[in-house]
Amino acid sequence: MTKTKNADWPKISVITPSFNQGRFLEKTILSILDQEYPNLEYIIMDGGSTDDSISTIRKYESHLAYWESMPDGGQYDAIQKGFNRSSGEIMAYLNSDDLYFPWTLRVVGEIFAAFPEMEWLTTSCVSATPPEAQFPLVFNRSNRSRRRFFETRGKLLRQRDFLQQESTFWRRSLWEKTGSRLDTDLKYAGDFELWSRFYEHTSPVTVHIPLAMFRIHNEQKTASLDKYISEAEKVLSRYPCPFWLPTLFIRFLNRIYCFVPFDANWFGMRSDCVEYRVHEADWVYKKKLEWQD
Amino acid sequence: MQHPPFPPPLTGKTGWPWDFKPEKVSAGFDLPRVTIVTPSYNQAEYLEETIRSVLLQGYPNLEYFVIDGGSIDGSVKIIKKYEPWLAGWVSEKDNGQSNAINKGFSRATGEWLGWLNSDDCLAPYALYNLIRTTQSGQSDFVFGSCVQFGVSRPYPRLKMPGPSVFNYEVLRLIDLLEQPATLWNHRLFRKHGPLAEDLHYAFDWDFFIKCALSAKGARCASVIAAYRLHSINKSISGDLKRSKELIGISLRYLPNDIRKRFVFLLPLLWFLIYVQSFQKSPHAVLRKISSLLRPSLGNCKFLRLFKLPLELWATHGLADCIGENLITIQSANRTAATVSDALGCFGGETVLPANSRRNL
Repeated sequence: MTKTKNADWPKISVITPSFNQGRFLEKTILSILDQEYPNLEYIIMDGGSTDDSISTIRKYESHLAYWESMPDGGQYDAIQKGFNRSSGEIMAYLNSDDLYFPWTLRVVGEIFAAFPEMEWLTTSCVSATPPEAQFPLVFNRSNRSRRRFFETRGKLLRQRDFLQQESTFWRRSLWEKTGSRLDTDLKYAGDFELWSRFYEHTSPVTVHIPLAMFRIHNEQKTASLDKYISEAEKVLSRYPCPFWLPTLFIRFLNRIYCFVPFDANWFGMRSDCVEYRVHEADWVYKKKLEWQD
Repeated sequence: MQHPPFPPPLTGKTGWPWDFKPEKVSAGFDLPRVTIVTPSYNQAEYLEETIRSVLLQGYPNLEYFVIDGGSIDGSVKIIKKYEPWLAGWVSEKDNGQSNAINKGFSRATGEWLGWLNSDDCLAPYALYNLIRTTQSGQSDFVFGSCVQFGVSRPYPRLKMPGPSVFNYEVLRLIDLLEQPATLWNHRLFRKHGPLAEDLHYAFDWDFFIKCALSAKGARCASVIAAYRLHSINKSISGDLKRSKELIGISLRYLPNDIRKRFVFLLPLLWFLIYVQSFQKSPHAVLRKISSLLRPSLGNCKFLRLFKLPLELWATHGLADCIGENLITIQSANRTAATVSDALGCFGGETVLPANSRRNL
């Protein structure tokens, strides 16, 4: 058994914006630090909380790469400031009331190390905790193609199939290519705006392993889903809607593409995934199209 | 020795553990021998799935015993079908589940021991994931997550114990470990075994509490097993006796300060058990007949009244730490009737890496 060197693992930067959510903050911090990921850069950007958040952060100060507590221009401004300070190859942010699973960082680190050309990763097991539920629920969503993302314009209210922000990780190269900024004008759908810019570049790779838990509680910002959706609609309206194709025709195309060694993202219908194979002791990359299992 | 070809899947069965081609797993170290014992009694419906899920692990150093309690429903036929791959099997009358498991463990030569009940299943490469976790630390006990599914639970649940569950102070209050997803070192079994044969439902909890006194536990982040809930599941059907056993165990290992607080409940408990003992009197025969006539009402209405509070108290009434120590996740939009579907809801088919391959 060899000792793991930090250099073996890609450096992951996780930013936590926090503002007066002391009752959830400690669990969030522990869910990241308990994983003992060897090459982690964890930054907490506090917006000048007045509750016990500061004492909680002080408790884990020695494990943080950086933290500060001063008034900022909202959640996405805090995250932006955090990313400006970070240096990791893989980037993500985790809001102060959400949780990672115990395996998350290692799984993400392995996948990004295994596929150097992969740009961003998300999960197809979206887990959320509605306030009336006893425990988190997992929604299985496999279709993350670019076509699907942009064609939901005007339909977001009906089909609320958003990418789960907590379980999305991206490379710094993609972040720099897409402007290395978050849209701080948006109050709610800043993450959605970031995905839209990422999607312009490439569509995400999914992994069928739950990566993070999303807590929906009453005072939470995104719990006012209507505002989030209206902002997301505004974001989508900046982009042209993909031209319409009959569903049966798309299915027919998919049948044909199965036999074609394709590399192009035809009609934006690619939604690739990665899987772990134990006997090969490695991850495999599966090129897939929408609806293809 | 030349084995016959491995039996093909039954017609109409797909997915794990039916049409699955295992490949021999290997690691950077010698994989220690693992002994799995399956106690079985009249569960032919599920037994084949269980046996296949163990044999298709692809684990190179596996020792597998099936201990049957004299089944009359064709279990023996299934066991004979898989005889060449078993280290041993018997089919004879025994004194219950714990007795059968002890019989199996008395013949075990493996370094790591575990048992798998005849209605539960292991996930693909579960043994390998558990053993891999033990290599990274000095632990004698390893546990993982478990998926619960079945007719009474169409949307399967993933039960994920927290890292500090294997702690005497926690474990003696609540049984948070999922038995199918555990393995322990043979040293532990020599020290604390065999299993208590007077218990019929909660002997696993009893054994785990004893283990937690002296051993350090490691948690494997992978999905290890699928636990089937069905109408003749012992944990569900044996309602009253099970409650009594759970209460008995939680009282036996209760911390003294809590015991003092709850001591006024003891007369009530003794009274309940005293009432229960009436069933063993000659009148029991008459009661039995009447209960057969009225199966929905059961034997003793009085005790049944207390069933739910007793059960709640015994399982998690005394401790207020479930939230941190057991994460439960439920599938929201995918139902599952088979093992393969249930595991697929949580990525159990694509194994969750517990520690990196680079750690090995």
